[in-house]
Amino acid sequence: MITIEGSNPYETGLKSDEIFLSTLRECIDWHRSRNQFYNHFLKSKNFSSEILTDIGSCSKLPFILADFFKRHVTLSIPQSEVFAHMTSSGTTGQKSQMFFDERSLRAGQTMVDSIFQHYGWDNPDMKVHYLLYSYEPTGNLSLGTSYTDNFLCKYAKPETVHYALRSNGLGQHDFDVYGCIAKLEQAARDQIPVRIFGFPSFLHATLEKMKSREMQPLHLNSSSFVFLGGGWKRASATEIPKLELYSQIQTMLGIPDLRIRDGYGSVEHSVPYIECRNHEFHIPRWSKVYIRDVRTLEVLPYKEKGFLQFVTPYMTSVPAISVLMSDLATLHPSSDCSCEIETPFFKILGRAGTTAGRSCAMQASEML
Amino acid sequence: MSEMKETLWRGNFISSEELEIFLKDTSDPIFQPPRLDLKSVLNACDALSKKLAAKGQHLELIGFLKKASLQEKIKRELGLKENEEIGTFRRISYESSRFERWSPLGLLGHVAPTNSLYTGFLSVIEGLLSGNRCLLKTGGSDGLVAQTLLYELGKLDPSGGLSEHIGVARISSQNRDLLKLYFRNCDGVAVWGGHSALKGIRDLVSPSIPLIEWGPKISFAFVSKEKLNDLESVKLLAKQCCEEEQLACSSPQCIYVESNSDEELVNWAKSFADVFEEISLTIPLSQICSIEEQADLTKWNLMGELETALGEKLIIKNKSTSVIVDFQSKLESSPLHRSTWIKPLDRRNFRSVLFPIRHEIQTVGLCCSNQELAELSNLLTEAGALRLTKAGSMLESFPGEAHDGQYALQRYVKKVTLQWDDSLVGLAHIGSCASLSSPENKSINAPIQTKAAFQKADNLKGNAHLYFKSGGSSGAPKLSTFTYDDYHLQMRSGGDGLYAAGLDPRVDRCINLFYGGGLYGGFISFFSVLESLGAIQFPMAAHTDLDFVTSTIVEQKINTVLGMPSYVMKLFSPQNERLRQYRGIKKLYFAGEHLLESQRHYLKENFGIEIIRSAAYGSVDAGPIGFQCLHCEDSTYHIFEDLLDAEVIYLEEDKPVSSDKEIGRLIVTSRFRSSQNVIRYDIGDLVRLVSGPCLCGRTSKRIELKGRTGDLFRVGGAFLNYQKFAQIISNSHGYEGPMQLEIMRTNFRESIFIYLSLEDPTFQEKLLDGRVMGAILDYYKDLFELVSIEKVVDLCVKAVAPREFKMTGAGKMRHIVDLRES
Repeated sequence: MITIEGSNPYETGLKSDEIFLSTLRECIDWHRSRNQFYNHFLKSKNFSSEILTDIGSCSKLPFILADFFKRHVTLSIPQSEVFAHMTSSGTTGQKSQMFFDERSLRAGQTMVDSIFQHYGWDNPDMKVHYLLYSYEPTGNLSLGTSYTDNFLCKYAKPETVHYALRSNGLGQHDFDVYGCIAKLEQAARDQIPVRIFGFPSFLHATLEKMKSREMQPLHLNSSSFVFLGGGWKRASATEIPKLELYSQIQTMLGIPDLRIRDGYGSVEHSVPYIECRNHEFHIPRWSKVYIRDVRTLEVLPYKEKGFLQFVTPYMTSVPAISVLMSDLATLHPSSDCSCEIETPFFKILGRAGTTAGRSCAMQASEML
Repeated sequence: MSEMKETLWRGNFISSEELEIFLKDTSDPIFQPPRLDLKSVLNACDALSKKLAAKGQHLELIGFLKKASLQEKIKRELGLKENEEIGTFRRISYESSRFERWSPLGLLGHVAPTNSLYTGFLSVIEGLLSGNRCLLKTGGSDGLVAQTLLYELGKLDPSGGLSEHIGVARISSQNRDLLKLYFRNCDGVAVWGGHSALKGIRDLVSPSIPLIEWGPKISFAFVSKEKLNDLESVKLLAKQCCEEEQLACSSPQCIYVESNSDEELVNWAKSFADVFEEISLTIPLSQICSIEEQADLTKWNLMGELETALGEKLIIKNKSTSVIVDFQSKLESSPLHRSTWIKPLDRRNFRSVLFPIRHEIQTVGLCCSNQELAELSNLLTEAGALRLTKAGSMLESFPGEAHDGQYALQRYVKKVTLQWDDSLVGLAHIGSCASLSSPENKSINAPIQTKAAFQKADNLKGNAHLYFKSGGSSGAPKLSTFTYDDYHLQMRSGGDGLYAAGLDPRVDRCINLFYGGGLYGGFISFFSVLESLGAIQFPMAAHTDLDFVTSTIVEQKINTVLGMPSYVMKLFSPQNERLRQYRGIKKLYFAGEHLLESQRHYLKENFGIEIIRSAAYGSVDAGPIGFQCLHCEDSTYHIFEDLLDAEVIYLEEDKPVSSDKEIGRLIVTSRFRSSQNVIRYDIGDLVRLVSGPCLCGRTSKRIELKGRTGDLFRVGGAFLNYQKFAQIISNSHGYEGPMQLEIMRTNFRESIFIYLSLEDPTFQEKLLDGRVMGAILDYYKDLFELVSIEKVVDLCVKAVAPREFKMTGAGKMRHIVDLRES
């Protein structure tokens, strides 16, 4: 029953495919029998589980726009089983939201565990400073990113925890750049490794501030680790070039490139995508990824740009199991990356046009 | 990689490295105050418009760039008359010396939006029209349309001055350091784009630099309850939603239907969707150019389908169009490209529903009856709408229309004031319109037109409003025409002239005694002149009841008289005892005829008049030509350089006189006569240029009148001048009556008969005893030689009854009757 098994998150092969397919069938039935809307939806698309004959047929599972879940509540579980209600920090009136039962939430966490173990980042005995580029929790904070970053703190023993976005007591958060710099300086002195998680834009702003203050580069413990997630946009709505930031981190903080990674995920689809050593987003065994033509919605071959679609069976609270994201992306065969992982990877290339929903990052970046 | 030279900088293409160097050099000419004359901008734009039309390129720009539409824009947006320029202080009050001028901001930055091909270019044109130097930033991924067009524009200004005022660089929004440098020395930055673009620039430039923001806008249509069953409205709206693929900010993205019933709304939407698709198929579909836009449209449709499945909305998707019926009223944007929302909205809820987005609303296309218009237009205006049109005409605009509720040109200039004391009374503006008075229109190649040629020429353009009888010295009277705009322009300058001549609108009580009616221009134009000055006026005209005129003057304490000399002399006759006693007339302004020195003397001595000046020097055909300030000699005039160009040309040869010693013909070219060409018109007057500055401080060209061209005649091989005869008789014997010269040839000799009026009794005696003849020969040396030395010309002085004077067709006395030709 819809559980995470096995040790290699990027496992390939027949057995893995079989598990995926049977779990998916099971999951479809779960939602169908519990969610009237979803049942009607599949009917209207003339879909039945028999269509899913092999792993290649997963693309035939009708997809739902990620944005749909932001605006509509359509549960496949009783209200009482809602374990976590996460919202994404939208700046417009409509916050995006997602409902998790305990199982779905744990599934997502187990996937992260698995990937962290795979890369050797799960070091429960290691003492670290946490520098979290995310929102300092307040009483009723339910923002997805904070939850994620807190949860990530279990992989190493916290010596100290420092938030970059401090609650100002007025229901808002201020970016505390000097606090971040002080934290980094402390870590350079005591040589305890630092784990930096969260929004890249604020880390970028911290490094920019260090440069403009003509600070000498810091030499953090080389076991320090940067794991970014969320938006790459800054105040002016311009993108920070990723590789430029990575090289800045190496220069200014002394953290090796191998230990700088970006993560991609969203509350509408909780499978984590974490960069390999070549900074590519390989697809773990818990999901399938398709790229669809923006006009015809047909599945596109490798390297062609279109909508990013995820299929995953590890979501039981809402029928977010085949989700069409607003992000535009390309898919690439594993052979295009020299790392050891054998699954394909995708590259994010921006969002859908003029009225595109805003991602988490925009509100945070407006505080820069 | 070697750098492409694609940045336009003062007429040349440079690399971005060079750009940085130039930007850091504050001595670069681009950072100096603008020195742009409007005429060059207008001419270059007009030339570009013609060039694009000829090449069939950028057709959308042709109408906008035409000189006439730009002039209309300037007139409406800056309130500038055609003969005014930014940068001239114009008097705004006759009560006290207060002046105002527009001044360009200086160096104006422009940030082009990414979604529009021409907005950046057009923004620069508006910046130039308002006199600024302009630096345009286009997007990192934009083409080079603006660069190319502005380079072309610069080349079309022969003086080269225009391109000195233009810079265009393609700079990515990410390159914040360069952008900061780019806008650092600007005096204002016009930003076009979405909220994030506006915010990006706000964060970039110093708060002391004014930002002129042109933010995002949304437009919608409204169908009133009354028009729910009107098929014509449906068709118009359907077509509207296809035009320009809705990419214009004035295109509708939502159609509000005034209905409280879901069923009615859905039925309307269904019939609309059918017509929409039907019409759409007849209009070629433009390809969506960006994948993001296509993605947006697809997502919108997908969401519509999902929400239809939920029963919240109703999507009606056809091959080329899609419509989503929403039962909520909230205004939302559609993904364009033939897609629209259809939502219910009651007019009573305009304000509340539109409130959150009231600053972004632009155009509302209405389907309603004319009876509903007052109510709906008021409610929509209160709700934030800036443009109201009939459905189907949402994209149509007119020259000089406000953009997003504002006049663009006014946002690119500032108002500067100047206050002074009464020592500036008489000055209507400070400084001259330097560029306007530069000799552009002298059109050296154009032939000089005599009055006869002018009247024969087919120079009327059919757009006239006003028709005046023009002198027509020979035969049938002709008509001279003006548009109202041109007329008021001339009259305002006429007012400036009268003000310079000492008329004080604060205190003077004026009686207008010019002839009116019968298509004469005199009375009506001085009515307008006085009106333009805000002066007190008694519109008497040349009334025949002189007693009534006299009592009005006395009873109303009138102190200023305006009229024709012949009428004025009749009024101020030696017999008018009341006026003699009144002595309250202090100022006399005349026009139409000359006022002799002896007449001036008589009026001053007997009636206490202190200022006698010409009210204006001009003609019906040419309009006002000159005025007299208080420092002008009696026959000297300043030229109205804000109205016309004046040349002084040799009598015998069509070239300009070489010195101010020489008498020549006055040739005028009027710049603001759109109903009739007045080009190099020989006004028929003999003049001399007066050199040196005038004591009044005005720098305008001055002339001295030396009589009519027709006053010159040749006898015995020499040129003689009628005016000289008149002057001598007036000066030596105080004769003020009419004089006519008749020239005959008898027995191979020529003779001049001087006819004077029998009506002047004091003069009879002098005439009879030969004193008049003696004075003429004494004072006119050339004549003396002909008559007394060479003995080739006979001279005879006679007194005749006034009715014996020979008149012109227009009722004026002829100065010279030459009987030799026939």
